[in-house]
Amino acid sequence: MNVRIAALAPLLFLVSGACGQHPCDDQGSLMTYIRDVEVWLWVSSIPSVEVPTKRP
Amino acid sequence: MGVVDPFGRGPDEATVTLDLRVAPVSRGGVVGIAVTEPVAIHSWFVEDVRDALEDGERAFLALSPLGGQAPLPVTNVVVRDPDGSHELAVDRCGYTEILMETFGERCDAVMHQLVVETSPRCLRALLDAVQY
Repeated sequence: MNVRIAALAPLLFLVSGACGQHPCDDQGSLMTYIRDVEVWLWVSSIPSVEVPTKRP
Repeated sequence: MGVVDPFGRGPDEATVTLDLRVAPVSRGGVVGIAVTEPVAIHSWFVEDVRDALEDGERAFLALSPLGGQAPLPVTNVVVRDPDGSHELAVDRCGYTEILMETFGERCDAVMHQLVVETSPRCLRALLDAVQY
């Protein structure tokens, strides 16, 4: 993300209530979720199965 | 792998349940014993976690309640580089830059602390300075 878009991110959040492109879409913001963290996990490996990963 | 997509998205993205090798991280940065657990994680996070592990970085998953979903879904991923720098995965909103602008040289120390923090009061104290 370039600096210009980053600078606009807070404003976009205020306008839309969510970033519109992230898994948090329609549910809240990254910061909202961080405030509700129940547990942090360190992940040491992840299976090599195919998941839908096409990004816009 | 089960698809539990609570976001109702199309075939290009989904929240999936994967068996991950994970260890709890507690205050003080102590990493517990690694176990294999089913974790609900958005496919975009999967991609970034894979990239991080392949690059020798550490990935930390934040699990938060989301509409009573079980297992608890991953709602944030923080990646820590071997040099101690941090960034949020799938950060299309630019929150990493916002954190850097907010905390300056303290940013990595704050994110290091963030990764072990689950107390709502402490999390608010850490993040309330962030203007977003």
